[in-house]
Amino acid sequence: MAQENEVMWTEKYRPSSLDDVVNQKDIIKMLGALLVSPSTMPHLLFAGPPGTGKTTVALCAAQKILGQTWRNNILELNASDERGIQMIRERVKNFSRMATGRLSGLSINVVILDECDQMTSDAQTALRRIMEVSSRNSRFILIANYSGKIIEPIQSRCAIFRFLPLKRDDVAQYLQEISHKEGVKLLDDGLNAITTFANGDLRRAINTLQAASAMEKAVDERAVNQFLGEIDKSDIKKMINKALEGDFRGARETLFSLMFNKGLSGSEIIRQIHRQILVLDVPEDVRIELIRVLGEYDFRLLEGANEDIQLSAFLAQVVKFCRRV
Amino acid sequence: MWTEKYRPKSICEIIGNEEAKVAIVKWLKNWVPGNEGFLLWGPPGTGKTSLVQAAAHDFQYQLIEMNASDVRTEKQISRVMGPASIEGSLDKAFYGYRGLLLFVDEIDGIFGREDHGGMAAIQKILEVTRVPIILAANSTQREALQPLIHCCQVVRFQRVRPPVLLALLKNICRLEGINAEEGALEMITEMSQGDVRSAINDLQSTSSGAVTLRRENIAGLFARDRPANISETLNSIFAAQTLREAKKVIDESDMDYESIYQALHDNLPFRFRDPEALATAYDYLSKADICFGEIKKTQDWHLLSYALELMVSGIVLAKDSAKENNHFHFPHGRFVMLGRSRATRSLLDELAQKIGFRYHVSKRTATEDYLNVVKVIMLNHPEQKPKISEQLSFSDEAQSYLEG
Repeated sequence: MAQENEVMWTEKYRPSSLDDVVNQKDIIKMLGALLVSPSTMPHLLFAGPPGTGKTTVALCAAQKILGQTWRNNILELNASDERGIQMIRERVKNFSRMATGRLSGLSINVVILDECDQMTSDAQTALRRIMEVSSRNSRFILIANYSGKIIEPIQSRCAIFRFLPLKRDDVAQYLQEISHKEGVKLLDDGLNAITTFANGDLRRAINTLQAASAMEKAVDERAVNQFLGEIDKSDIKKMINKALEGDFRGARETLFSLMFNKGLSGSEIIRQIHRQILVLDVPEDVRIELIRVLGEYDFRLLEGANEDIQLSAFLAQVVKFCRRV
Repeated sequence: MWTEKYRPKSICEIIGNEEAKVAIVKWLKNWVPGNEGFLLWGPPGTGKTSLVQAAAHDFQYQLIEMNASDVRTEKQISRVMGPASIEGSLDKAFYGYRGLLLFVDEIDGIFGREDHGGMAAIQKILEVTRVPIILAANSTQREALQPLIHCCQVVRFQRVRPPVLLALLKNICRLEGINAEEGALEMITEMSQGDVRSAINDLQSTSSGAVTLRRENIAGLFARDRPANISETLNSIFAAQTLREAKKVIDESDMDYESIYQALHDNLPFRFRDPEALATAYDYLSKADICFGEIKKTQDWHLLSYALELMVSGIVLAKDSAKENNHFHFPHGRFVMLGRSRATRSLLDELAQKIGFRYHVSKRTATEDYLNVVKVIMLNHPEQKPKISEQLSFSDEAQSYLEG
């Protein structure tokens, strides 16, 4: 998979075989045992936080199952991108027909379905049916952040692998290796800033390293923050400040623009608000109170149906503090 | 929508309000820079917007419409209206228009203190404008409006008289091939109280699909005594003193709960001025949203009742003495934005799709984790550009969007 020519480091340094995956050792060991006889292998369910190697391991496993012809016999779908279960059914069906991979006389292929936990339980029930119908030819690798959001019948049909967040040291080691190969000067405070921001998400860590090193010769804390500041483009800051000044409508306008013009998801906006609150120029008691409220609304966002309503409600809470700052 | 289909194109097609028609023609014909503005006021649905649009059409002006409640602060108003009020010669030359005509609707949606000199900004623009400006309002009661009244020709719009409205409805029936029972159209006319828009809406809703419009259909409308539109539904919800009253409004409204829910979301900040009240109202809307989320996930529809109750609970609880504006605000924020930025969004979508495909991530992750990195690389290492474009096969538009 990894190509010398590849621009993005996340791709360039993506392990191309299970043996190269340095983290998630237990998973690799168990998975390796299963992959010895792919024809009798169950479907797989990978659960865990972002940037912990789920997709990488899925791609490596597919390669191992399919051998030489893997590129032509793998279907990658993302549940959050596909429009409905009908679309997924069609694509899986058409794909099965065209499978050319051979495995002990059977033609076989691999379907990798990412972000399954974004699917409604109805869609998951339909997915379970799709898996049954096509299980003669297709091996499914389902990927999710939370296995709890996958319906029982699917869970019971899968071998479940839980991916843990990477340890700080593991992330650091990985970044140092890449820096070495790319000839990037990565300073200790820079490394520290990246691992703190990435919080166990290796994809994010590598992307941050690459962006920071594109901006500055030596990657120190300042370079990292410069890039992270770039992400904010201060819109988030503007939004919170408007709310704190009591201008709810203005703050909400900015929120809508971030969501609908820039395409940021609610959880991304929450994460950026979080970062802003920590450095906001407000009294400590207000800061602590804001963090509590944000946590509450982060939870509501996960449970709710409309992100713009939840975030607007959060801003309405922030406006209450306008007299205290 | 029949209200759009039968919207008058030309001034002579507008029914009622003869004096206003004459006044606007005279004003527009004689307008030169330095003349005063034109302020129309009157009840909703009587044809203010139609008149301005028709006048622009008849006199070949390019109409620029804006809603005052979208742009409220002095800075915003100056930014939006300022350039339009001094330019316009380009359009004249290019499109053969006589020039620009500025129309600012709902100026009574602007408030004094909070809106940082919005009124003053409009007043200033009226003094220096190089193009004619028309303002519209539902009422001229608000004190903040008084300065504007002094620098405008003020024309009052009346409710449309029943015989005139009746003739219009008859004509629409003829064009739509509807056979109305005797007295049916009279009932609609009476119910509308001179609001042409709601009359046409009622006609469409009671006759949809049928060849004959029966009196009983309309009697049904009467008997149900339902708020006929979203604005009335909202007003009733905001006026409710108890949860039961508020719930009853939802149950009896013609609007589906989803529309009411969205309309509440859009209108809360315009109804509540007090931060505590607004936060309470939104808190309960957020709790309702959690119920909706649960319903979506589990299809447990028995939760709907809680969702609907929570949706209005905050409004019942939030007592706001400053609660004053009962003007309905269309969901401008989201929808205007969605319309305005369609091109940008389709570019972003293309970028997200291609990045997502190449790097095995969802479009969302592509937008959040990759887009800025790609941008930064392109900006700082131009020599990488061809390689990136090749690997991600971006279109030229996407490419230039990324380059800023």
